[in-house]
Amino acid sequence: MNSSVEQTRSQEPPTPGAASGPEVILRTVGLTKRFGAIVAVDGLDLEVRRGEVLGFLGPNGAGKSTTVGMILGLIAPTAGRVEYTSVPRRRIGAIIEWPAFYPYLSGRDNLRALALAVGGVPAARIDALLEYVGLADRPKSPYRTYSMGMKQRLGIASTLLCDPELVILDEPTNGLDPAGQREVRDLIPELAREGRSVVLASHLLHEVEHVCHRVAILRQGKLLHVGAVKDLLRRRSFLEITVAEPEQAAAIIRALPFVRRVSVQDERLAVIAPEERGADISRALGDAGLYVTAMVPRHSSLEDVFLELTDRESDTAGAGD
Amino acid sequence: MLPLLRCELFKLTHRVMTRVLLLIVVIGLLAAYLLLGSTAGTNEGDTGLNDLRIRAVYDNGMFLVYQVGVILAVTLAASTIATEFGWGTIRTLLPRTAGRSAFLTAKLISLGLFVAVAVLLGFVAALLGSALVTALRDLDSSLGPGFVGHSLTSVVKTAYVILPYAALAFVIALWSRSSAAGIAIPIVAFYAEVLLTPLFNSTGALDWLPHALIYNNISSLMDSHAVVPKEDLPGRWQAAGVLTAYVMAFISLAFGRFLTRDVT
Repeated sequence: MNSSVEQTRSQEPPTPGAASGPEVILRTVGLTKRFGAIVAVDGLDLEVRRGEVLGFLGPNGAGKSTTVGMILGLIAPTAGRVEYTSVPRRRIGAIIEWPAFYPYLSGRDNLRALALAVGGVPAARIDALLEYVGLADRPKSPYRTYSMGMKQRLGIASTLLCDPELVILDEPTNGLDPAGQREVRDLIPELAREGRSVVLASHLLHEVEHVCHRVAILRQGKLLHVGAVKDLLRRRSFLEITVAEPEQAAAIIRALPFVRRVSVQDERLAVIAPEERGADISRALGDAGLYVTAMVPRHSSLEDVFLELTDRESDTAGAGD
Repeated sequence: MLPLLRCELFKLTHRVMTRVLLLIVVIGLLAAYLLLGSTAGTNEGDTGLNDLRIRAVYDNGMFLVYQVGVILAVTLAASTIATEFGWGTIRTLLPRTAGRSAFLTAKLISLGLFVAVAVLLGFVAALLGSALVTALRDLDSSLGPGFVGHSLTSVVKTAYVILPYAALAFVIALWSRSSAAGIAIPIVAFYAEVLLTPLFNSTGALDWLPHALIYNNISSLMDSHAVVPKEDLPGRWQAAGVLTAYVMAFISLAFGRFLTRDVT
């Protein structure tokens, strides 16, 4: 079903804090959700491994929240299933789309209510979590008086309430000031170091690039790509070459077997090829009497890759219409 | 299920709305007694004044409790479930809990407890109001035979007859995810029945219908204050059965909907 999905194998060392290696703690198998004629999620096969931070990316309406809803048991799949291989659903902490709490209760009482519903959460943990997210100084203020940043902080505290093995964060830095965003960015790898898995859905791609081990990219409910962030970025890196006759040089470079793509921009060429093949390219051009003025390896950002992947799929879909 | 019930009771007791509703029961009952006491006839033998005596609390007083209680129970029943959807808290709570059935059961039990507390408070307020009027108007203050037994029965019956409308409000609010719909529809149904029951009885062809609805059955259990003659009301056991059937049907509908619904 996902023949177009790009898979890359992680070449990174085992995730920090993962004592038992890349154990799969949650798996979706052919997960599908239709709302009438709309296919929100289409045959999603995805694994979450212990101690990893998985970026969950996609444009608006890609099916991220629906997938999270199915993982949490809020939405019934039309087909496929979610396998909780080693984590009970109650040990999943999640914020979906936005933090939601009782407006008439204070931050502490909201956590108390949640703790009562779950059972077995010591009162000291609530205070510790409030301290941890910086809300301990306003224990009695009703939630409705909170700023967006404070709501996000309480949301993060609630995800950690039950000592979760899997934390799902949907736009966790939304509404936070730069210092708060930095704190959350620092918190996520910390959670992974503690052996928890984190699924991070965010539109802030630089945030994902910095904290995630792997990314899964969705578009229109389909998984476009899943794999290690570094591998993905490495595959999309290119060589920027400045040369006197760019069109002629482009034709020569295109003929080289290891070159995947060449585009001409002004006097420069953007060549998608392994970085270590730079000398071969330079030699081929030199043999043709074209001499390279400059050759700089450029690394794509996750944003570039994301836009390229999602735009390409969009173009493909458009061509098929 | 017990942790969820503790959570529901925690939310209920910390909510200003709950306290306001209970306060309305108390103040409403006291105000009604004082108003009626000040406007009723001047002689002790007058029916109006007799209805306000302490010995009539389990009858007339509890009828007032029922009328106020229905509206308040409907308000809380609709709000308790619709706000979970409106605030999005259902998405925070459900994944961490023992399951949807336990969640809904805890909500219904806490609602039942609220109705019980509201009716008990209403009874105490009616007793207090009656004592005040008795003192102010120098009425007979005797309790009459079997006062405690009658009062206990009346409290239980009053709480019981409120439940069908509360359950109706709950299922409508759950279905529509709207407090407004959950409050409005049962109240409209309540008053529509009061207005239409005499009409149905007078037509002949549809005189069986009120027996199958809620209000006549409530009237049968509440002994008095029916809009039709007492001899036209269904028997008590039949009435209790019909009301139970309504409560069960509404609760079943709520479970059926909630267990299969996507929470988006």
